[in-house]
Amino acid sequence: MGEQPGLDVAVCLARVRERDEDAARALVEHLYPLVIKIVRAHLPRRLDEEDLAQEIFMKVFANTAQYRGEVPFEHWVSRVAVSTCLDRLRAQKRRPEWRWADLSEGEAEVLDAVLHNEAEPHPSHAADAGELVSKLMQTLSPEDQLVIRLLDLEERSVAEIAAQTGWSQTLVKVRAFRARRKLRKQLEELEQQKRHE
Amino acid sequence: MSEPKDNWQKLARLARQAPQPSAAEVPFGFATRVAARWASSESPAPSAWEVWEQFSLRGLMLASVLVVAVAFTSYDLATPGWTQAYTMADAVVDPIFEE
Repeated sequence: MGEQPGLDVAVCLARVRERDEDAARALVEHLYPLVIKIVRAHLPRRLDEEDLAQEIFMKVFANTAQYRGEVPFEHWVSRVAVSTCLDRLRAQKRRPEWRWADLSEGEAEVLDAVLHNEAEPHPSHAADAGELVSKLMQTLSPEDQLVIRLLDLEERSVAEIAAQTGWSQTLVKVRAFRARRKLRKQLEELEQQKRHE
Repeated sequence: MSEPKDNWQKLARLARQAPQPSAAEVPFGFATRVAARWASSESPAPSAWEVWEQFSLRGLMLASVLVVAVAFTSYDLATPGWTQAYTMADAVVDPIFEE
């Protein structure tokens, strides 16, 4: 199973609108890699990725009548997936506050290297850096998390993010600027905590 | 690159090199489960036009029944000429039968 390169999405979609279960199954298999990538990137804490993917597909099928074909179907599905993830992130109102003592040994080493070494840290620390970044991003609002993930981690362009989220390019830039400022402030605070230890 | 303001970008650059999760394979039975759940869910809610259309049809049927009923019960009032002719004929015929 996996992505079906030969699938005619338009035909499949028309059959789904007539409530054809086989067509729905084929569409799920075709879109799964796209949806799960978005889910994994934005997965709220303590939430099962399969449950969230299923919720996204149910929303897609329930709203197929609203798809007018103005953009490729995959783009429309991406937007549904992103907005569903944002809703779930918003539901998790409480955001953690990390202290130096909360970091794992690897995360603390990476942060130390980033803060104090002139040179770029060794790529062997990449996994710990990924964990640390995830932790830091949990302190941001869902919208800020989305922008930073797409812009700084997935290296998407501002235009792409605007298309995926429905926000204006100016709004994307403003959110990115504010979110980066918060993240830098957090790094400074963690550094100060380490000094006081 | 030693300025504090660049630390976030430095960390992000390193995080981008982190190993990505394995390729997304559809879990066994996932597509079937989703399709079955969708198929067993209720039909989508009717649009405002569909509701209006259904309401109008019912209204039309009820109105037709009422028109027929009214026409049936007030036939005499609706056709006074015919009733008068009938009454006159009755008046002529009755004495013949009475003889």
